[in-house]
Amino acid sequence: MGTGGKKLMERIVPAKVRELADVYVKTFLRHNFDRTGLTKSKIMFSNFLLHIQPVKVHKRSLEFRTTLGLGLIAFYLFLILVFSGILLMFHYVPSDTIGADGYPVAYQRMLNLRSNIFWGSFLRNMHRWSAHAMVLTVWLHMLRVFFTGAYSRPREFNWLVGCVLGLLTVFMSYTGYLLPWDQLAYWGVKVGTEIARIAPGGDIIRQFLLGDSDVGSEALLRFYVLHVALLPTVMTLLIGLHFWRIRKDGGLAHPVDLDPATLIPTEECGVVKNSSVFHSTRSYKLVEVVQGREPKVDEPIDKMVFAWPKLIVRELVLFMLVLAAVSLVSVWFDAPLEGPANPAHPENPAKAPWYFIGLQELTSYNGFVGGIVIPGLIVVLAMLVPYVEIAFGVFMGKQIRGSGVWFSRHRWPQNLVCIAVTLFMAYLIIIGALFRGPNWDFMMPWEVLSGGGH
Amino acid sequence: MIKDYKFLIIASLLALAATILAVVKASHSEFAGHQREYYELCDVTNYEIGIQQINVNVGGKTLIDRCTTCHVGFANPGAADFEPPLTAHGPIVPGANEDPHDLAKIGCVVCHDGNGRATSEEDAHGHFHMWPAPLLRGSAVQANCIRCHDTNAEPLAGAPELNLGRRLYIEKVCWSCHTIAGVSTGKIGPDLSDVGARFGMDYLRESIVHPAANIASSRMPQFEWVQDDETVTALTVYLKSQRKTRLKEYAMAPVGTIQPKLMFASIDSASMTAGRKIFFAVQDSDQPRRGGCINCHTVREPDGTLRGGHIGPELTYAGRARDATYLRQQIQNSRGHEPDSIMPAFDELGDKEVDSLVLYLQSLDYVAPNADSGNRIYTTYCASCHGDDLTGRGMNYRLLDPYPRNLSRRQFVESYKERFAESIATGIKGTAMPPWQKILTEEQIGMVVDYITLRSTADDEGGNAGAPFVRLKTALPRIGDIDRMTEQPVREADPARGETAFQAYCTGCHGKLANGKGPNAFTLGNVYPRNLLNDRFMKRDAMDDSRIYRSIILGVPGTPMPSHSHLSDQTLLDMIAYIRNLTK
Repeated sequence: MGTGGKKLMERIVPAKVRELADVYVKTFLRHNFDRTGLTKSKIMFSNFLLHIQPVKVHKRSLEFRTTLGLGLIAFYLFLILVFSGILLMFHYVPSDTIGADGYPVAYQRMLNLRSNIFWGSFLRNMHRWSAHAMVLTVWLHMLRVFFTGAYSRPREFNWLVGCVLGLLTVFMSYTGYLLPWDQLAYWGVKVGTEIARIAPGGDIIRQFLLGDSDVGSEALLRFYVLHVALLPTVMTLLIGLHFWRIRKDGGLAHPVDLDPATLIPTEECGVVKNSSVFHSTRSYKLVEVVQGREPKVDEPIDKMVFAWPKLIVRELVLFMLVLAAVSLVSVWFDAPLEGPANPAHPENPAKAPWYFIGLQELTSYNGFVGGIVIPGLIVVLAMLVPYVEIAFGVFMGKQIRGSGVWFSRHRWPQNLVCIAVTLFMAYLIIIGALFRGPNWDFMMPWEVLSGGGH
Repeated sequence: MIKDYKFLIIASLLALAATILAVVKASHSEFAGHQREYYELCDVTNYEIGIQQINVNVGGKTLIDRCTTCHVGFANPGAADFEPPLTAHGPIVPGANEDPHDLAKIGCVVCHDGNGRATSEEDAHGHFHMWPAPLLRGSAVQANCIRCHDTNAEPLAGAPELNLGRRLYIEKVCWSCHTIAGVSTGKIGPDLSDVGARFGMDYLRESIVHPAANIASSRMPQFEWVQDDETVTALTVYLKSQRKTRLKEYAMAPVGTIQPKLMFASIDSASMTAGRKIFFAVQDSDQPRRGGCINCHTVREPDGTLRGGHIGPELTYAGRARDATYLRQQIQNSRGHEPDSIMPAFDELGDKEVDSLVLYLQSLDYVAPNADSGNRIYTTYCASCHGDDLTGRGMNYRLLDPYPRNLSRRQFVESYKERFAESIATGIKGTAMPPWQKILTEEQIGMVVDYITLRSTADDEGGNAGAPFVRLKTALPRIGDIDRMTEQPVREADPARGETAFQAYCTGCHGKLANGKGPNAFTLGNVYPRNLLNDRFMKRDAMDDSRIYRSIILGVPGTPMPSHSHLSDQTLLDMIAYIRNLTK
């Protein structure tokens, strides 16, 4: 509010009322909006929603090219999914009881969403496309973290949490895939659970998941409960942990500036020991809230800026863009819905959801190697990369550098392996999704199926 | 920083615009336009736009029908001139003054299928992938009469397509392989009692015209009559009408409460003419006639014209080659003679009908003119199965199991030609090869053997047509002989050890059950591995132990059966004992 407005307020509103209003507002907004460091700090740590973020962030964190915003996009998609998912829950019944028209109840609900529920189709589209987008974004986010070397010490544990979150995202999407109870859902899930069978002990896991020896009403109920209750709760907690650890690990990874000329010399201020368990590069003291340089030692000259308002505004911009993009896609493209699930009539080819098609393609060559060994190796290796690097550092006495830099030349072997694995996975998915026809025979995407006049 | 705020404002506006767009799209429904147009045409000013819904009560459950949301004028005779979708529906029973169907009560989905819950055209007409009940138009609607009416009891007025399909189901012998509850009990093909509820018209039509289109391993023959559109359409409508769950139980159905039971034309006494009628499925009463051998088998009329389908062997000579008992058994249960035959068991035919068929087959007396050279005899009698080029792929070969022998491989012919004359004369039990001795003279048989030998030597594609081919002579070892591999004396054969060896070496082609259907069986080209459970074949006099021994140790030349000379004599004898035990 400008000074003119303030004067006008003073003239119209009595002083007592102004004082009262001020007290009332202060009950929930316990800070002013001036531009002092103290206020900017207060805004961050006195707000429940904002306080998971640090008061100050590194200048680099504000730049788009540091993260490409991928982690945040994934989180926003999660929020959109929770919101649209809750609205969809009002209309959905996880039951395959056959109704009068011969269609299962869950499927009838899909038909209702498409026909007589206002915004039903839009909500379903939004949920569907956001789910696919989230799987993709999470994958890209993991690639970003890998290629910038941001997984290495001290962020190795957060990388592990992230990997678990990635797996949960896929599982979440997979459990939701069954719920429409149409042919696409039924056979997609069926293929996925058949792959699980190959693993040693996979039959037990499969039975535990399906509650039956085959995909049926029990599986629908279990997938529903997993999808709307268990997995979202676990994911929310883990996302909290993931964000909290970003702070505890010293914000986003940025290149360590080791040029002695830029370091604050120790002898000027005495020795300050970093006693943090996690080797955090940040210490939290009152000096943090003061603008300007502060006397820290053995650390680069401070490049931190206040999170309010720069970071928050940019985060909001990104949220609005994600919301707009998802809405536009959902207005124009309808989520697929096929005929009701029919266990007696398999589709040919029956394809798993796209994120599992690579697996399906692999298993078409060899069940055990393709379905268990290779994907298992990829997941375990991906999770253990930072720990292997730490071990390498301990035994060779050499720390691997290059954290926080895109495609650092210090870590070209890792990046090379990662690029190879990524291309391999993308290749499998493309071949499986586009080049496989009936009986999983190779087929050009533009070839017309000879049969199949459904 | 100011730039960031600008971005925030633009992005927020964008998100707001997208949301508004979504709301606008959701509230602009297809049906609103139709309803507005309809009310304007009817000069109604005070109207309300909304989803119309007919709740069809079907035995306590409710069938939701929202079609009238767009088809607003469907029950209004005043709307007869309006353009679709607003136009009125004419009377369902053609020519009836008063239609007993109350459209406002039964709605559209009951007859026309489609997706009753949908409120947009594409969705409602079921034009999306794998929707099992896309909209039925035209005569296809007749398929749904059966949802309420009992049409198996007697022909239903106004449903000519359905009635024709029902008759064709019998005439084209579909009943011998397929089950439709209350109509037929065939067990060879899939049960068709619920196909109408599960598949669309296009799928059903495709399954009739091109059986392997959707189930690649289907062994359903592709009949000649699939070229006839009328026949296929009528059958498709009949199949589409087959549903297990009817909208109302028979007791509540508007017409008829009789359990469906198909009546067949029957005959009083066995005669050749009746047999011919059954064979050709000639209908001379209102009731359909069971029979229709002509759908699969060919016969040559006395004047030499060939008639019928190329699915089973030609039957012109069957009545002369086989005796009456054999023919009777073959009709009633062909697998008694040939365990892998796909011919259905026509055990529902009465004795008189079977006798008539036998009389008819015996009456066929076509004799090939000028049967005086090997070539002519072969072409007349053998080529329909063994093929003009001796490859075993005559026009009737495809569904025979075992396949007719490929006689174009010189190595095979050279190895076994001394057996040919006897095989032709007496036939080969357990296969479709009949005995020809009552039809061909010994001299004629000799000419055929010479012809086969000559052709196979001349045509052999291996490029070694002139090179001599001599099959090794091996003798079956006796107990006490020295084994060629182990140099131990051969002991008593043990079927249990033989089974172990069989499971190790033979199952890839012959299968774990030894029925000739191992995992590699269908990739071997035009020879099936021998079904070792075929006891008619295995118990022939010619199938002695030494022949089995030679076939295993030397292989069967000209077929995929390789030599197994790496096995010891003891193992071979054990295997033979095991194989013998299978058909004990």
